[in-house]
Amino acid sequence: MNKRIIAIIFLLLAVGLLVYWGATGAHIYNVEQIQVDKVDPLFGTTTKEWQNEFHPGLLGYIGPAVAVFLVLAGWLFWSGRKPKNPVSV
Amino acid sequence: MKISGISTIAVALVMGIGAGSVAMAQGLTVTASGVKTVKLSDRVSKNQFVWVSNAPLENMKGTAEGVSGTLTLDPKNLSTLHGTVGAMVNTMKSGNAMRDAHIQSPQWLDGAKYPSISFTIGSVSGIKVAGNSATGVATGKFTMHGVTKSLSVPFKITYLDESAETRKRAPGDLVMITATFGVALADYNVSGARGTIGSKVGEKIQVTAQLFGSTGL
Repeated sequence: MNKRIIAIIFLLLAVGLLVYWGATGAHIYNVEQIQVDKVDPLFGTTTKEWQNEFHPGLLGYIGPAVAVFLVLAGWLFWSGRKPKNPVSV
Repeated sequence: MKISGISTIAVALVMGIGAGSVAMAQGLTVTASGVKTVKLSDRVSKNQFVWVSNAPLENMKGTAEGVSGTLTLDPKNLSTLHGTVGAMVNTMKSGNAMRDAHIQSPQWLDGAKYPSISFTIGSVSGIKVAGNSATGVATGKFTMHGVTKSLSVPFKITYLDESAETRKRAPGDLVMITATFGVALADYNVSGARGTIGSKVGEKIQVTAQLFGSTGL
């Protein structure tokens, strides 16, 4: 497969990860549990319950993964480039 | 002389009515009366402190449970409200186990050395009653990280007379108190990791307390 196409796939993966990170709360660090509201019908109050739900953080998994994808994409673009003035031997 | 006497009586009447209305205004519209002892219990509903830290680099939401305390109050005279409420530092959660460990570490709240955070109500003012609920401001001593400071906390109290419905939770009359206040970390000598407060952790933590207790426990 063309190196440029693979590089574009890596770029799209990096963008996709950033979109996923934003959609799951844009947390800086990994979140292992989230707060969910529980309404008390007697008092009408809302208490917080913890529910297991993993949201990767930028400094947890998302950032390093995006960095790896960008490096790979950059390397593939660079190595797959066509020389501007090919030297004929 | 006569006019002076009448005006004196009028002033006295007005003052009397005024004082009477203030006293009336501090009483909840409930059947319970006399000084009651309210023991906080999760049987009534979940006692919880919810805290929020907003900082430029990160916003955090967490809870503190392990809440205990005893309050005394006369529902007909809320200025009698006194007592102490506390939460255990080791019950603080933020949704990230590593961060929870940091919160309890010596650099932050030092849960091993200062295991609890407490508030002792000294006086209550500004009481406004609406039926079986009232709002006011409780002033007392807030202790965290081994430092005690005076703190005024706006609160709302709701009193439920014992009924078949309340008995499903706990015996006795039920009491709910909610309060929201801010705690400046620097005031309590919480310095954290260098450069963290103000960037990743808010300088002031917003706390909402939800307390539930019963007179029959």
